[in-house]
Amino acid sequence: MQNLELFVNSHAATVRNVGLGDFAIFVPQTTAGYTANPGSGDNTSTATAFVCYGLGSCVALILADPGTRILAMAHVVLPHPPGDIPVPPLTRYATSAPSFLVERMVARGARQDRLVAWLVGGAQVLALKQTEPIGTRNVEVLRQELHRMGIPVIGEAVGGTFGRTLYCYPQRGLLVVSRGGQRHEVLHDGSLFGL
Amino acid sequence: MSIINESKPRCNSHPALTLSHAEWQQAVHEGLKQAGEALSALTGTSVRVAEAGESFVPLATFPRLVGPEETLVVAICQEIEGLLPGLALLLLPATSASQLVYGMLGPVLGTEDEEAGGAAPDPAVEPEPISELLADDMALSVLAEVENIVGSSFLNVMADKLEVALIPSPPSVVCDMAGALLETVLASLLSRAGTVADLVPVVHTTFLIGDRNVQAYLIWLSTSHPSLVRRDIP
Repeated sequence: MQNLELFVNSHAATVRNVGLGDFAIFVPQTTAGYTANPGSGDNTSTATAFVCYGLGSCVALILADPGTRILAMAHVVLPHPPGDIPVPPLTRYATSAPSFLVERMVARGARQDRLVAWLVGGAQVLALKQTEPIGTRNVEVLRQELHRMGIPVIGEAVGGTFGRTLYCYPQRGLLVVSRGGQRHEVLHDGSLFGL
Repeated sequence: MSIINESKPRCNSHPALTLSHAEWQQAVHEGLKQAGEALSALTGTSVRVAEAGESFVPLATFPRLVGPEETLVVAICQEIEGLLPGLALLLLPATSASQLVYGMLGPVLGTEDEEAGGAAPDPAVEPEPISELLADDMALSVLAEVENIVGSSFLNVMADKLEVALIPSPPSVVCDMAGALLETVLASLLSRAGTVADLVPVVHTTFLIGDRNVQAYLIWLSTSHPSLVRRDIP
């Protein structure tokens, strides 16, 4: 792509922000796709991009089925629920986000044995003494869960000490990562989807 | 207010519970006022305290507490130990951080104006680029000291009112996207509190420094906030 930054900016008006604990699902046969908000059920959306802005210790989990081009994304906050009871939405937690997304993707026609995953985020932007490095744990637990479910992680932009923003253009199968809102880099170019 | 972890035991001997809700709010306001006065004394200029107080911010919008998530900010962070463990954070948009440091250290940071030391930020002079500022040990020391003094002024009031010891760590200075920093702070808070609240209790204020309204945000989060240990506040 000739000018990645220009491409990202040209889609800025039709971005769907996938906030903390939020998720979004894209089904290509529809006019634009489906997005979902915790607590409000699924909504159709005209968004052309799903974005996780300012990922620090949080991790964006992206799952895709190259066969159907169904794609899902979650903004994972914590490795596991802090209390005894996992409080919804389950996409907040690395232990439950993969299975939550897979269930909804399969319900829309995706095949679990074709799914692939990408992980973005999980940095340690603040060196806090009193807690475990949550970003690192988020990535570890997501890898474990995905491995358990037989889903390969085919791309990552994780760790480090700086924040990231993830742009996902589901109609093109394009994933773009920026650092500090600058330095856009392609994480996936859509080739897996034949695009 | 929705406290999700209803199994968390009530702790009637907890220091936060020795104050009524009104007393707690009064302590917060007094602490923020003291912090503003300390910042004014430190910078030698006027400081307006805007939007001071405590609010309950939806978890999903917490990373936008000081503006869009991708806003580049300098964060000076102190971890707090004691009976009210938590985090105190001073956030400055990148331009504000440069202006603040320049206003306090102008000649040292390479300007030609030897008269500018200790004065309020000069509108005629461009601030240092943030990358240069963060590579300057003296600038980092100034930023750390600002949080040390401003944060401590707030914490001293809270410690006095609650009659507990609050022990802040040495400040650490980082520069990143506001959203990345705030979501990391939030995840740490939730993990340590052992609960997930739909609304996050946060004390925050906006300081407007000098004639140019240089912005700084003071944020305090405690894993032992009253709303996380009992259910009748607010």
